[in-house]
Amino acid sequence: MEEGGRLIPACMWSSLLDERPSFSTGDVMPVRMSRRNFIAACAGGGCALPLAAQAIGAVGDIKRGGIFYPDKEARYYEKLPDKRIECTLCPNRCKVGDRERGGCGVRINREGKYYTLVWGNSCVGRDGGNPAPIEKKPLFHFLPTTRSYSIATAGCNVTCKFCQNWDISQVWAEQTFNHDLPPKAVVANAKRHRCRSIAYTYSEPVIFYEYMYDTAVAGRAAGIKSVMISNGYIEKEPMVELCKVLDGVKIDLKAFTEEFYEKLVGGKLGPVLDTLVTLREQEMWFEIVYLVVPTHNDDPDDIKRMSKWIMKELGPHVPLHFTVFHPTYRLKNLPRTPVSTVARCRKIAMGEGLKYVYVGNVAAWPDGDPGESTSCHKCGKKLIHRVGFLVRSNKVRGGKCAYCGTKIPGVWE
Amino acid sequence: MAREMNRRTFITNASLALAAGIARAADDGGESSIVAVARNAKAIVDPNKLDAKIIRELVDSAVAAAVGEARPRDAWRKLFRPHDRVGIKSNTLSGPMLSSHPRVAGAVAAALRDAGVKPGNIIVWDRLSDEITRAGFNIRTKNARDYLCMATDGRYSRNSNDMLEYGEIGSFLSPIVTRLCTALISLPILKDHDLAGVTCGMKNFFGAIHNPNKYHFANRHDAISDLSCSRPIRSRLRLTLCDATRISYEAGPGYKPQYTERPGMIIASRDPVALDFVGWQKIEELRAAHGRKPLAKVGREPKFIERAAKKGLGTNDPGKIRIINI
Repeated sequence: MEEGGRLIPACMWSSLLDERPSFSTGDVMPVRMSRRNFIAACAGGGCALPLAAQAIGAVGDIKRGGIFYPDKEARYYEKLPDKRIECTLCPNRCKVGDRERGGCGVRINREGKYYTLVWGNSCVGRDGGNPAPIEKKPLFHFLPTTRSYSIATAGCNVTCKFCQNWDISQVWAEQTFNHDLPPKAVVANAKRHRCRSIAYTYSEPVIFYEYMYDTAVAGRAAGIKSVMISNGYIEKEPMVELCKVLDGVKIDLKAFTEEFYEKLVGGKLGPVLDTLVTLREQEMWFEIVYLVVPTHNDDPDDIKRMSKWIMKELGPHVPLHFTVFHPTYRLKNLPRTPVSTVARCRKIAMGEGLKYVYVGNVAAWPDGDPGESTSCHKCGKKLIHRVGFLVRSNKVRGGKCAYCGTKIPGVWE
Repeated sequence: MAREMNRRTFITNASLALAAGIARAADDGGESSIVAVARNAKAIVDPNKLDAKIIRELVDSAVAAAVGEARPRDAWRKLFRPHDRVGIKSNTLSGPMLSSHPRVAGAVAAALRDAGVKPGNIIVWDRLSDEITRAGFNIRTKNARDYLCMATDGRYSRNSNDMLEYGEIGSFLSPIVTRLCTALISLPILKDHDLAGVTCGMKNFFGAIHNPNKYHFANRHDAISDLSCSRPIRSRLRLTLCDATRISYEAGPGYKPQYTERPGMIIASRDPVALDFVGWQKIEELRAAHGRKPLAKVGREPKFIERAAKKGLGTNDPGKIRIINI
């Protein structure tokens, strides 16, 4: 950060600092325009107008900026004396004083009542969401080749130093560019984009629990499935309730040591493992992603211990993805994970008996890495040939191997 | 021209001269930190209305004593140059009844103007427009006759290279600090805090970062002291002036009328650690008077004060703090 940087006249504050649009003060600095710039702007505007109109027509009447629905009461909290509350949604169990926010930054105590500030406030994409391949989540055993309408809001309940979406996850709802997108609008957008599912993703859906829940209910009524892409840092009761409306879950198991969770995540490992067990008990389809961060969680012994735990507690058919880390956010001093490291992790996990172990973010064009594709756990034949997020061929028929008829675990219809 | 002097002015001037003498003596010793406590119960007109004239007197006398000057204008001039752009960091989280009062901010701004700082270079600010407006301030970012008033809102950098990384802190600082201001005044309220124990001058700067809630878990005390000790804050902070006209001693940070006293007090110091320490003691006195346990007994001792002292930001040693009551 520049110390004692260039001084700027105070009256130019808004125009110079509005790298992203301002929502609250509306103090826009008028800009003086030269004749040349005026003509150029008119010409550019003339060309851009039809395109802009087309774009607006395509995405409908969108309201953006600010916080919509700031008075939606949150679920899962207990009232304490002196207008304090205890949030019981996630293991942080924040005790929040009046006028304060929970650790997530998007749930606020006002006069002893807890509110979510992000219900209906998706902050991504042109219309509030992104239609993305389901393989990008990654969910490899869930409606392959389909698209999932992906939404997110500001906020997160942990503080991963390697977060790739930190600019929405580590900020408040006031700091993101929100779309007025209540659940029915999410479903309508998902239909328009021909998405088979809605993904709650990018930041941390646990902290927009109410929004996710209501959207999943609306989606189910319209025949659209819902998947949660989460860190699994949630208490059991809300997770069980959520399982009633979700169709699939991806859990980021960030490491298998408490030390990693304490130092790099700002959370605890135990509750995440509890969530995985809960998902198994609830017979929810779920896959696990393990981001391999060089020197921090790539110890073969840890991978072995984790694989043994998964085998014992969750069974051999839970897909496990080892993905490559890219230097970002507060962990820029590390190199990208070598592909050989994730390949070694995969080998260890398969050696422990896990049947569906993948590698991700390996960019192995044009034929793909063998660890990206799905093979039948019985006959060993390649069923889904993937190259990155692209599916080249799919030999799963009615949820079964096209070669030997073995049932392949997952959600296929 | 000879100026007529009434009894009040005479007493004020006499006490200021005495305070200045004491302060100078302390300065000569080179080891003590001065915390000036100016008090006048008449400053409170009704629960949320302050007497502007008395507040100005309290602010001036506290600052003069804290700086060791007989005349307030000299004290302000000693702290701020006419070309400085001075950011006055208010604390407006808790609404109109328990926020830095606009009358106190107005008195500080008037004193700065008297010291030669232009109105356009005086910025009263906090993190959110909603909060600062709710506390009774009017947002104005240009053409001010008294001072500018603004909030950071969403204007933090989007580039992680701009992040302040210092100790426990990994946050974006408000560009009001990094890009607008050459000098800072911390203008906190004095109140109990359910997590940190005490909110005063140092904790006030949690309103200058984009993610204060992230430090409400483990290591929050380190985060508070680290933020105040970080170079962008430390190098700009010239004065902490605590609006203790109203003090909350329990169940903060929200406003609870049953736990709020109105002593009409202004506390000033150049040492943010010493001021927080004295503020903490004031809260403990009120807690004791109302039969509440000390903060340490309820697990809320403000440990960040000691940690900041260890980092050399100031002193929390009572033997090295000279309190001047005015």
